[in-house]
This record gives sequence, structure tokens and C-alpha cells, in this order.
Amino acid sequence: MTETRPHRPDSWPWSGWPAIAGLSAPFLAWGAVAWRPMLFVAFGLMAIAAVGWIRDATVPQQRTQRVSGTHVVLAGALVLASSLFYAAALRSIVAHDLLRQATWPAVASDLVNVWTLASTVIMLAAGVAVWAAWRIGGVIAPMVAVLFALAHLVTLGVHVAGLAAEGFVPWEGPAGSLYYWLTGIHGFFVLLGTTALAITAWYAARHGVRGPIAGAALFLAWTVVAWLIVFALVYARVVEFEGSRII
Amino acid sequence: MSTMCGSGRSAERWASGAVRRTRRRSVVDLTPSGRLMLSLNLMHGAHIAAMPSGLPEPSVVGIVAAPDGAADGEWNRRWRAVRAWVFTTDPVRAGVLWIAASMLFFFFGGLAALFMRTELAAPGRTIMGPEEYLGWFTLHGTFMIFFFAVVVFFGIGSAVVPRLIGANNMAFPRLNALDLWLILLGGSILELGFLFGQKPIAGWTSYPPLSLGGFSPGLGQDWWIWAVGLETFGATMAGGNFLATILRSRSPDVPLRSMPIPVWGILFSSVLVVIAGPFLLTALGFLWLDRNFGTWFFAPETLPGPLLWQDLFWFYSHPATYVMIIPAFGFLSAVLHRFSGRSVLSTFTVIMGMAGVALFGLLVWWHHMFTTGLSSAAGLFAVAMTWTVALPSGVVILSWIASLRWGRIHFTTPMLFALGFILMFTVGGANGVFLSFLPFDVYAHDTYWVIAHFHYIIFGGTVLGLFAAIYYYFPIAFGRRLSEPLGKWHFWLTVVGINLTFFPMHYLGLQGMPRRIHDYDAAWGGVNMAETVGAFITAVAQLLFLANLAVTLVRGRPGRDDPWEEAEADRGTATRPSPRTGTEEAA
Repeated sequence: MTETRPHRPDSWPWSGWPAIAGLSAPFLAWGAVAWRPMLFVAFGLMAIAAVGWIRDATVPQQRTQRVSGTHVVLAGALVLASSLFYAAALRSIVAHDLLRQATWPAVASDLVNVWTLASTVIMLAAGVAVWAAWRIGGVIAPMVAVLFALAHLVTLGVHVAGLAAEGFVPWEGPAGSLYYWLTGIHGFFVLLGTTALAITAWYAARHGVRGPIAGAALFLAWTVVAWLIVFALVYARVVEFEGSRII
Repeated sequence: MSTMCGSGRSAERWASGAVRRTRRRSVVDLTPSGRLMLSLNLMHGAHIAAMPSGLPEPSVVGIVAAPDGAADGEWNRRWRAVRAWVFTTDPVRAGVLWIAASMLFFFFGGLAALFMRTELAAPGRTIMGPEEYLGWFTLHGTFMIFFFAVVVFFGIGSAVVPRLIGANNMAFPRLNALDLWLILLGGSILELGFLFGQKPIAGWTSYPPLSLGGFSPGLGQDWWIWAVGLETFGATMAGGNFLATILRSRSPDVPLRSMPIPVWGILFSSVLVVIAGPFLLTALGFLWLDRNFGTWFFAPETLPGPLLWQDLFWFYSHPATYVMIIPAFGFLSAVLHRFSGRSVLSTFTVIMGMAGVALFGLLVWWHHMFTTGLSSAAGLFAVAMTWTVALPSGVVILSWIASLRWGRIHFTTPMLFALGFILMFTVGGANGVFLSFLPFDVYAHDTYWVIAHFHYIIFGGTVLGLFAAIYYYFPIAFGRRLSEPLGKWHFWLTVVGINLTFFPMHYLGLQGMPRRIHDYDAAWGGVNMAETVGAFITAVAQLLFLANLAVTLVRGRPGRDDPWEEAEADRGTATRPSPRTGTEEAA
């Protein structure tokens, strides 16, 4: 039977960092839409907010979060996130080449590229490795996660460089647009998500706090699901139209 | 000084450690402090305590912040009071700010609607030309959908959900604050861009090629993309935050099966927004790239081109309708329960109904694309799914009606709004079923029938549900009941206004009056004038609501811990706590 405190609005420490991070958003829009120098202001504000936010979040205050059965849930969430990464990696083998076949027959000769295969193997290994590292010692897990994410991106980058050398470039029509931007956004998201998991795992190991970490893992897992659906829909739609060639 | 909600007796109890910990489903020993939490936890009977002696006695939402040190000057005190709100990580304060920001955009959107209705009052040009009309139309739809209806219930959720599940705060309190800022500033840049002449004119759906550079030159459409992008990003993160909070931060005393219906509503809504939100973000990113960097995602020279936008846009924006309505289901269950003295006929049925709406709501986006040349298989799938989604909605409505059948209905303002919701939402659902018939949709797709359907769902459903929740929770949160006479005027004028505005649109739709056009055939002038009068009646009703808020906040008389008990006492109804709706049940 746990006791919780009465609600006291002032018991939660004020924090200006979300406001500063939010303030960077209009500058980001301003820079993107009208006046590029504003991008520097936006990124500056984001950097300041990120540093302050991380410092805020690592104070012992966070230990007040309720913890219950989190170790099991955390492990489950990591396995779930890893399995979603597997699915993403499989997509990178099949869907990309399917797209290329359908939309750009000139480079469709190799259905399974060695680099996408390597990239997939790395991601398959990453899930198991991060989970194992967490069981062995929490501090190792974040490093393993980041290393595998970087390896995944490097191999994917080599694959993309090969495509570019063949002349498959982003401005070559809708196929190029879709392929490069989706892959780029996906790569950014994987890197960002893995980094977030790494930070939270490090935080968990350092402070012995698990409640928010499991929440972070769940949050990431949900957003990964969403991205997978985005990919599936876009590819299915493009393939349905047999190639979105210029008509 | 702080506003008072505590008492010496409660402080002594706290100091002596005599914090009452009651079992779930038992009656809670009410104390004056923490009205909101106390009332919200009636069904759990936990997490409630009096305030410590010597510490500031907070108001529920902390209108005045921390205690003042003797050495502090006036400016320091003011700064602390401002800081406590602007930089808050408290879920209740963030929720109140969130609701306020959403309501601000609701009134901006309403203002745009009045300009549009004024133009439509008579055929021909009245006060604006076609381009200005498209600008106001875009602003109206964007504010009402993205910056008001999608996010407002997350504000109520922030204030209410953590306590309903026995959590101290949201799982990520700072993320909660950031979401609020993104939505507020996102809407602001759209409004400012508009005021400085950068008008998006492609409508709130921004279909390419109208939204591409060739037809929408200038920066207005780019501002729109970024504004909606920021809002969607914030809403998606908020959904994830609610998921983490509800799934991971619940008290061990609140198992999933015992969660109140309003929490289930927020949970389903969060699932929808987290799954669907990235679709719109992706589409917005592609559109911006097409406009600025020559990519080909939605270029009309390609296939699927513009249809890809419609797929991505509607995969988010149709579930967004359910993001708006499912939380209303939850809060309405609480209001109906409280003022009918009976629990919902079958809590399980209502929860499963909401789950069904969420599930099938994800699968019906193609019914927005009946006229785009869908294959017959896709069209049939969309028709079947649309009919299917009507079933769980009907189950929820019938459960409510069956609950009311044997209840002792007390016609308070929130109850009136709840009953209005049932009626208006049913009308909106019924005329939506017409649209789900593919042949009828082909005929009515671009007519005012769609406007009628949409507004009965959004205004008749979401907005009336929101007002029911506000009238119900306001006195619990602020300790002051909104004026009942003004509230009832607000309700009746709103109902009369929206029916006068939107019901004749069915007729105009059948007559073939096209939507999104600033001019029309002179034969429809009388009906359009009536609709404009209805729109202004609706606007007057909302001004009454604002006046009610202002008068109550400034002059309202502090009431009892749970002001709605007075109403129940008047009718001699004893109550006992109910675990599932956050309210009490007639004994």
C-alpha cells in the first residue's frame, strides 16, 4: 500500500528549458520559411535548452517517480524496440529494392544488396547485444546501442553512395525523392531513438531509477511502430501505381 | 499569500501523520485542500491528504504561487507568480494553460467563421473576394481542427489523468510543458503570418497541387506547413506522454481494469495520435520539400502524386476526428453518471465501444477519397469500415441512453451540454452514414452536406462535450461554480445557433451548393442569411461563456469542496463513490 502526497502545484520545480525549446520552434520556422540566419538562432536555442534540460532531468528529484516491476518491463520494452528495429531492417532489404524495381528498373538488377544485408545483420545483432549488455551491466548498454546504430547507418550510407554513383539521385523524379528522403528520415530517427535509449539506459545505470526509463522505451517503441506504417503505406502506394514514372 | 483551500484542522491532521488512506471504492474523508484531486479520486479513495502545517496552502491550480519571504520585494513576488505558471511542470497548471491556449485558437477560428458567414450572408461579393475568403476559410479550419479540437482534451487530460490514476505527475513533465509551447507558438506563427499578409489559401486540407508553388506562391503556405507541423509534433509527443503516464505511472492500486472511463478515453485517443501523427508530419515535410527544393512527392505530373498527399493526410486527419471525440465520450460518461445518479449501464461496453471506434477509425480514411478513382475493392473496404465504425459509436450512445432511462436526471448546465452532445452527435452520425454510401458521396462530396455532417460531429460533439467537461470540472478545480443561469443561456443559445447554422446545410447540400466558394446562386440567399444569423447567435453564446468565466473568476463565491454536492443535496440524493467514472453514484 503506497501513500502518495497531496497535489501541490509548487512541489514541482519550475523549468524554463521546455519554454526555451519551444521558443526555438518559431525561429526554426522563420529560418526555414523566410530568413535562413534565423536557423542559427533556432539551433542555438535548441542547444541551450537541451543542455539545461538534461541537467534538469538528472537531478535526484527524479527519484520521486514511482517504480514498480520496471526491470521486467524495461527489458520487454527493449526487446520490443529491438524487434521493431529488425522489422525496419527487413524493410530496408525488401522494400527499398522493391521500390527500385518498380520505379527505377535501370538499377533493379540486384534484389538484395550486400550492404543492406550487412546493415540488417547489424541491426539484428544490435537488439540482442543491447539487451544482453543491459543484463550484464547497465553502463555498457548505451555504448553498445550507439555503436550498433552507427554501424547500421554507415553500411546503409555505403549502399546509398553506391546508388548515387549509379545515377540514382534524389532529384531524379518521384522515386528518388521518396527513396532518399524516407531513408534519410528513417536513419535520423533510428539514430535519435537509439541515442535517447542510450541516454536513458545510462541514466538508469547511474541513478538506479527505472520508472521513467521504461516509459521512454515504450514511447520510442510506439513511435517506431508509427514510422513502420508510414513506410509501408508509402511504398505500397507507389508500387500500386507501378512506378510513379513521369507521365 | 496564497488563495485558500486548506484549513487548520486538516493541517494538524497532516502534521500528526493521520493521513487517511482509504481502500479503493470507499468513501474518502474529504478535506478542504486539493479539491480537484479529492473529487477526482473519490472513486479510488487514495492519494488524498491534508496539507502540512506551516506550508503554504495551495489553491488547486495555485493561482498564487509560493509563500513570500520577508526579504522579497514586490517584483520578486510577481516574478515568482509568473514563473510558477509560465515555466510550470505541474500537470494541473499545464493543463489549465493548455485549455486556455486551445480556447484562444477556438475564438480566433470562430472569428474567421463569422467573417466567412458574413460574406455568405448574401450572394455576390459582400465583404471579401475569393482569395480573402479562401484565406479565412483556411485559417478557420486550421485553428478549429489542429489547434483546438485535436489538442484541447489533452489539456483536460493533463489536469485530470495523473490524479485519476494515482500518479504524481505526467511521466515526462517537461515534455508536457514543451508540447504546450509548441502548440501555442505554432498557432501564433500562423496567426502572425496571416496578419502580415502571408495567407495560406489551400484550405485546411491543403490538397496539392493547390498547395504547391504554382498555385500557392508566397510564403503563406510554408508558414501553414510549419505551424501545423509544430502542432502535430507536439500532439504526437503528448500522446506518447499520456501513453507512458497511463501505462507506466499508475498507482499499483489502480490496475488497468479499474481505470476510470475518462482515462480510457485519453488512452485510446493517445494511441490514435501516436500512430497517425507521423503520417501528417511526413506529408507536411514532403510538401515543404516539393515547394522549396523541387522534389516530386506530390507533383501532379506523377502518380500517385497528389493522391499520396490525400492518403497520408487523411490517415492522420480522419483518426484525428476520433482523437477529438473519444475523450469527450469519457468525460461525458462521468457527467451523465454524476447528474443522473446512475452508473453507465455497462462500463465494459462503453470502454469496448471506445476501443472499437479507435480501431476502426484507423481504417476508414479512404472514405474521404471516394471521388479520386479508388479501385472498387478499396471503395468497398472503405464503405464496410465506415459502417463498422458506426456500430461501436452507437453502442456507446445506447449505453448512455439506457443509463439515463432509470436515472434521476438533474438538469445542471454540464448535464444539458452532455444531453445536447448525445442529440447533436447522433444527428452528425446519421448524416455521416449517408456519406458512407459511395454513390451518395459522389453526389454530395463537394457540397454543403459534408459541412453539415462535419460540424454536427465537431461542434455538436466535441465542443458540447468540452463545455460539459469545463462546466463540470471548473468548480471542482477552482472552487467556484460557474453561473448556472448564464450557463443555461450559453447552452440554449449555442444549441439554437448551431442548428440554425448547420441544419439548413443539409438542404443546400442536396441542392448542390458547393463548399469552399464565396459566392452562390441567388436562389439560396434566404437560407444562407438564416445560417449567418445562426452563426452570430452561436458567437453571442460563446461571449456569454467568456463573461461567465470572467465574472466567476473575479466575483465568484467560493463554494464547498465539491460544489456539485449542493445540487445533489437539493434533490436529496445520497451518493456513493463509483470507481469507473470519477464521480459518485446514487445510493
